[in-house]
Amino acid sequence: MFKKTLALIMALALCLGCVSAMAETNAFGWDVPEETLKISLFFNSGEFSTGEEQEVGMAAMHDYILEHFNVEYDIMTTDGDADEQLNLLLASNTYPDIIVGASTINRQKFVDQGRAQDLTDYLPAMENLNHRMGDMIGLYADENGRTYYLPQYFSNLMDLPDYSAHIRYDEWQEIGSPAIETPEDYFNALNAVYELHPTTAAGEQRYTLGMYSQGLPEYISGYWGLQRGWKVNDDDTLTYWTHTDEGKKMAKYFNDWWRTGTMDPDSFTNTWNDLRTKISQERVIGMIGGWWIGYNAGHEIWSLTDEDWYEEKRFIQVGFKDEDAENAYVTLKNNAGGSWIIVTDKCENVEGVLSWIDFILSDKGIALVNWGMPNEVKSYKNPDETVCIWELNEDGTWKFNDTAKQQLVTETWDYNEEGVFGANTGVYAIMQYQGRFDDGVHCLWGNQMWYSENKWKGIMFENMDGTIFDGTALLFESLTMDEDVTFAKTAVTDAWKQYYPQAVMADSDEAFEAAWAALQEAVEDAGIDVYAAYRTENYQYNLKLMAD
Amino acid sequence: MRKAFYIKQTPAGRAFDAVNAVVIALLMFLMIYPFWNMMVLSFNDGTDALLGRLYFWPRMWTLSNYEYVFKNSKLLHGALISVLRVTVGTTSGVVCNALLGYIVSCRHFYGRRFMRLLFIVTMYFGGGLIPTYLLMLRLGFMNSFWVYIIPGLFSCYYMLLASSYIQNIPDALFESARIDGASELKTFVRIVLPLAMPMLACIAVYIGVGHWNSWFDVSLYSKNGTWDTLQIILYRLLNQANAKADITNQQQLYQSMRTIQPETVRAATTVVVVVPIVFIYPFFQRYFVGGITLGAVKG
Amino acid sequence: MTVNAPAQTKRKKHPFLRSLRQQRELWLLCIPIIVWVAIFCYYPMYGLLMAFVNYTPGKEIWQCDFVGLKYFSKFVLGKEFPRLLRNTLAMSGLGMTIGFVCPIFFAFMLNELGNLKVKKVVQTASYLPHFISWVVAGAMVTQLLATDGIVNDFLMNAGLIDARVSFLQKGEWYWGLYTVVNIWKGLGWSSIIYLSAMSGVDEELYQAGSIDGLGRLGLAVHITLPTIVPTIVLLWIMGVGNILSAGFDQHLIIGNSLTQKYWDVIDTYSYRYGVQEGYYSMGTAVSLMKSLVGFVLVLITNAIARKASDVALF
Repeated sequence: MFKKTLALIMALALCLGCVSAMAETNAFGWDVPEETLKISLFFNSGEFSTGEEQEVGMAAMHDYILEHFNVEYDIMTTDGDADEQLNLLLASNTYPDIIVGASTINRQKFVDQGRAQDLTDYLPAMENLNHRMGDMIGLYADENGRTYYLPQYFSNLMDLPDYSAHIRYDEWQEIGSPAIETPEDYFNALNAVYELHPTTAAGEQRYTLGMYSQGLPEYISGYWGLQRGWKVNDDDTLTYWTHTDEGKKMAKYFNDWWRTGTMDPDSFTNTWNDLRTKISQERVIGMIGGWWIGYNAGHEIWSLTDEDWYEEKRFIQVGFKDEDAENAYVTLKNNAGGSWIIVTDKCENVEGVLSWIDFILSDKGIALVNWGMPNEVKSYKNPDETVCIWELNEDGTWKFNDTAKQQLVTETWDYNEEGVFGANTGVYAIMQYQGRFDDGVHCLWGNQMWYSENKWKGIMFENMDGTIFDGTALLFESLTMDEDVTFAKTAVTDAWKQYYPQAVMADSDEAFEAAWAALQEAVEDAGIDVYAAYRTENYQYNLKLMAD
Repeated sequence: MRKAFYIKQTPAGRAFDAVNAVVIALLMFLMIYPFWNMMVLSFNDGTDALLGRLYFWPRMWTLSNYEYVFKNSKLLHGALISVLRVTVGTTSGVVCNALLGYIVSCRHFYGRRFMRLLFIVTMYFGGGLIPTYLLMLRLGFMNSFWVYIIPGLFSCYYMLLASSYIQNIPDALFESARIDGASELKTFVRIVLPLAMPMLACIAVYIGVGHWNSWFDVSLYSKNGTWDTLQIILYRLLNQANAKADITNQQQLYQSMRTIQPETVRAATTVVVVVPIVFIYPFFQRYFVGGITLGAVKG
Repeated sequence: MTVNAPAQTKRKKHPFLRSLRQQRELWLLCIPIIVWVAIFCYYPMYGLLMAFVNYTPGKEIWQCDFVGLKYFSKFVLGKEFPRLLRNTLAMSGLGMTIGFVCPIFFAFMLNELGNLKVKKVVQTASYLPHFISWVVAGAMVTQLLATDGIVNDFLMNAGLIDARVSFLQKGEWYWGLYTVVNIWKGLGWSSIIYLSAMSGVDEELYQAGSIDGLGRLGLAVHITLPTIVPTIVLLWIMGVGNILSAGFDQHLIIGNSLTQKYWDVIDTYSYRYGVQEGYYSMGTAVSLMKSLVGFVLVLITNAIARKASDVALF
């Protein structure tokens, strides 16, 4: 009898103990653990810089996460070259539990030396990860089906272009808002503007086209149907742009343009900063490059410095396609990622770490580590006021703050103040899902939502539609590059950077032909067959992987 | 300022003086103007500066760049550490190198050439970053102030500079000291140090500025921030991800290029780093710029 | 000056042991110094072995595959090497001649300035460029010399040229540009050494020389110059040891792909193909090669200097 009572009491005590030990789930939907979960990581992004407001925000975020989640971040950053620092940590065996953002080469060092933990068995439990990634998760396993690393960022907004051509909206309207559908249309449009306004208000010479980064031929060849500089042949082999008709056509197009004498003569020596100065001085009528260069160098400056600024004085993006091209593969998205997360052999709680990573891939997790802390946060500029970016309620429902949304949509958002929310340095967002939430509206970047409410984003999407493609198979590096391939890759880049400008700047047809031949020879000497062989093999391997 | 009374003034001499003055004035403009331009930029609004064309005067005056720099709460601490580093590092460096320079200049010292060769080899051969880093770790120099001082105590370059100067000190002085029974150390302190002042001042300037400007060792060895110097804090303030080649995702690039315009902040940090040097420098300068000149003009 | 210690010894005792006893204070002073250099300079030199293996950080050097002279031969026998060597020698050659002499001239010119205050101000101003980082200095240069930059504007307005010149795209001018910019940046700073050496000149020597009939030029050549000759020789020999180093940051900023044939030097190439890709072995091999060549050159030049004059490194 006594024994039975004792047993009953013990069972009851056990149950009660269980109940209290059962983790409380907070408003985010995270099971708060009993023991503080340590997330000790190395953030592999070099020249890490922080302004004051960012430091304040980061410290606040650290405390917030500790308080609400019982998770403590211990972040190591570096002021110099991140790869160098990582190699030093590796050589001295002093690296932390998690490496965030390792390059492929450095990742392999960890994996090959057995310093990266096997994550395979923990993956099925990661609901959010599986939900977001779907079948793509198989891409990260090795031949034996074991997974030792995960991508730092994956998936993409398939409606956001990477590269585009630009023209100023008000000037485009002035010439009659012509449709721009082929490269020739673009040339004609810019020349029409040039006829009307050959000089700036200050009397300086304007250029019809400005470029940077040696003309970005690998990306721009997309307008002529090549994919990131490669022609995908019918048999799934790849040919480099220098040895294709399309590449030559593109070069000829720019060469003809160059010979009109209205292109920026320093096009091939411009760095981005040089071009930006010229754009902001209104000396450049059109340019081809990242989708944002017109923003960054154009109206974002003019709206602050020009007293007579009006809304239409800004660049819009335009897409076009060469008539012979099947598609304008200008923007190729690699959904599988290019930098990596490793959980090292120093980590003692792999399951805990992965469960946290899984959490930050949920809707609210993404909101926390990418937008910032929810609800009222003290402003840095005006310490008596508070600002808010998103709101979280006790019952777990959430929404984006209306004022913040308005500011973002009307482009009055102050980027120099966002540090205070704690997320814009990116150190807390270990893994980033860069696609859209299931609701089809939200994503991790505050300024890439609600396109329909912003006239200018609307124009961008309309114009750039048909230039954005999934290029994962082509771009994702699932086979490791050995020394010879890396060498060839660097040599090929060296070669076209020196010879492509010569072709574009040739002053006669004969000179162009000669320069183009020289370019081909240089690229061959550099070892393009070695490099192309690797890319082809990688592409075919990916196609096979993704078909399964 | 003494007049060189014994120099005769000739027409050629006067012509030379004129040409000299013009050339130096031109050089001065070339040297000063870029720095002046830095100052102009630092007092100009960041966004406005992107429009370029700032030459001699700010267009949109602002103190916001300096505010941004000085508002940093860690700045004062960093400045103090920097001052500490420069003081300790320069004193120790000058004394050590001078001593070493003296030792390798002693004509009767048998080990003279050995010591010289020992150091000259180190000037050309080095193990590289990884072995050095591992060594510092093993010595416990991580997050320690001494990592700034001890690895920099001796340098072949300064040893050679010091010794080349000390060799010019007349032997007679050393002989008499030796006869008087002075120890080497005493000779060093009483004779060498005072007489080699010009060169030591020069070495002090080089070492001092080296300590003041260095940030790479701070970034490697001062991980928990206690021994951060001014330079590294300014360096951090300054660094924005300037068009990293590996960010192919343009949105990410856009995000990282968004905030504070770096041009004017860079200008402000350059000014903040250089101005203290310009103020302290005259104290060292008097040791080697001064005295007689060969021109007969009153000073 | 290296006068050999008199080696007369009446007994069979080795001069080294004798010196240990007689000059024991000096030797005692040397001991901590030798310990220091052994720890901080010689011990890390095991890193040079990285050049002979396929080194990966995380593994010990002796755990990596031995490859012998693979990286050396890959570099030296590579197609690019002759061009790299040419560029390196051309630019460091210019630096060792024109670039070397300019600070000396400047020091003399400074010495001739009458007014002490002016002298001090000029000297202070002259080292300001040293403090402007290459990023900033290079950007200034590229802006100045851009096809639509100020220099072109001036030349056009003055009627000296008909069409704008793209200075930065002309490879043949690169070496000159590099040398000029380097001189500009280092002139004031390097002249400090010479000035300090010059101020050690005894005034009585000047007086004596003047009495002997020397004018200003004569005094400079016969009194001042000999005093700083040891310093000049010293710095020059040390410079010779660095002949395979010809800039780095400058090229990345002032140079561009159109002038690459002229600015690509050993260090920039090694960085692009070695360090940047994480191949430490290649970088170490190149660095070791430079060290060896430099050191041997120093030994040779030093021997020549010792025979030709009293001045030498050791």
